[in-house]
Amino acid sequence: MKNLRLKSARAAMDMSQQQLADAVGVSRQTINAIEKGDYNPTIRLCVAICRTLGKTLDELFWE
Amino acid sequence: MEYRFGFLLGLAAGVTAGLVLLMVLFKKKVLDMHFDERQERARGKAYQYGFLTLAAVMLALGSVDAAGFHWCDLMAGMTLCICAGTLVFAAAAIWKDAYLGLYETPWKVAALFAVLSVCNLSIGMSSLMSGRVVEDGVLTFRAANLLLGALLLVILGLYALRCLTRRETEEDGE
Amino acid sequence: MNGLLLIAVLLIAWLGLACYFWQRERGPKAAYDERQEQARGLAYKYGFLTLAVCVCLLDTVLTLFPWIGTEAGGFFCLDLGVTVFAVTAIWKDAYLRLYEKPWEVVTMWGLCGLGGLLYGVFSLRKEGLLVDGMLNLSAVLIVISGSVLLTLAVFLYRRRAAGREDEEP
Repeated sequence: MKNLRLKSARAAMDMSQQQLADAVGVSRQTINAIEKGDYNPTIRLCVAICRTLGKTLDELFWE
Repeated sequence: MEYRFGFLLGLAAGVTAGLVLLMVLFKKKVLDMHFDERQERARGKAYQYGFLTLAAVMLALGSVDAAGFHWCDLMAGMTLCICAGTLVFAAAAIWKDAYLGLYETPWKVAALFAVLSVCNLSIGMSSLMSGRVVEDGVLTFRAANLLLGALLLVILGLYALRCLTRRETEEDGE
Repeated sequence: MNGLLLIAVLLIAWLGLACYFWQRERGPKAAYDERQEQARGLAYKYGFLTLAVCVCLLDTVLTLFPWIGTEAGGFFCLDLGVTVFAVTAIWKDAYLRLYEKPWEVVTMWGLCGLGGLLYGVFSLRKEGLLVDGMLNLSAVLIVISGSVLLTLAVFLYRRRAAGREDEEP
C-alpha cells in the first residue's frame, strides 16, 4: 500500500527523495520503495524519517 | 618440490597484490561496503541464490565428471562455479538496487569493472588465439581469464539494463 | 566408485528438490519471520563466502595434498559452506521455521549423523584410509557426518541457552 502521507510530508518540507535519503542514511531507492509501499521499514528507520520530517509515527505510518 | 615452492610463491604474490589493490580501492572510496537495511535484506536473498547456484553447479560438474565426461580441468571448473554463483548473486542484487553501496559512485565502479573486464578478456583472447584454451578436448585453466572477463562484462550489462528499465517517480529533477 | 558418486549426487539433488516442494506445500506455516529472514541472509552470506574461498583454494590444497582427490575436495568445500551457514543460522535463532518442531530436526540430524558416522567407520576399517593412493570416500562421509553432529550440538546448546535466557513473568 502506497505511503502518500510520507510523500506529501516530504514535499511539504521541499525535500527530494535523495535529500531525505541522505538525511536518514539510506539509499534513494529505499525511500522510493517505502513511498510506493514495496518495503516495510524497521521502527528505527521509521523514527529517523519522522524526526527528519518533524512528524509523529502515527501521522506518517499508522494505517 | 621446487614446482610446489614456485607455485606457492606465485600464489602468495598474487593474493598480496589483490589485497593491496582492494585496500587502495577502499581507501580511495571507489569501493564501499555500507548498505541500508533494505539493501542488506535484498543482498541476503541474493547471497542465498548465489550460494545455492554455486553448490548446484559444483554438484552438476562433479556428476558430469563422475559420469565419465571429463570436459574441463579443475581450475576451469572452479572458475566456472565461482562465476555462476557470483553472476546469480550480482543479478539478484542489481535487480533490487542493492549492488552498489550507499557511498559508491556508479561510474567509478563501472569504470573499474570495464578495465578489469578488458584486461581479462585480452589475456583470454590471446590464449584462445594461441589455441591453448582447449587441449585434447578439455577446457584448461587458461579459460579462467575469458570466464572472468565475460562475468564482469555481463554484470556491467545487467547494471546498465537495470538503469534503463527502472521506472521510478521522478522527483525534483532527480 | 564413479557410479556411486553419481548416484550420491543425484540423491542429494532429488532430496533437495523434494524438500523444496514439500515446504512449498506447507504454505505460510513454512515461513520465517522478518528477523529470521534477515539473519538467514547473513548466514547465506557467510556460507557463500566460505564456499567461494574454499573453491578458490581447492586447487592449491590439491597441489599440496594430491591424495585428497578432486571429488573428496569438492565435498569438503560443500560441507564447510553448508556447516557455516547452518551454525550461523542456528546461532541467530533463524534455523527453524515458525511452526517447525525442534524434535523433527534433532531426530533427522541425529539419525543422519550417527548413521553416516557408523557406516563410514566400518567402511574405513574394511578398506583403509587410502584406496589406490587416493582418500577413501568413506572418510568424506565421516567428515560430513561429524559436521552434522557438530551442527546438532550447536543447535542443542543454543536451545538450552535460550531456555535459560527466557524470563518468566
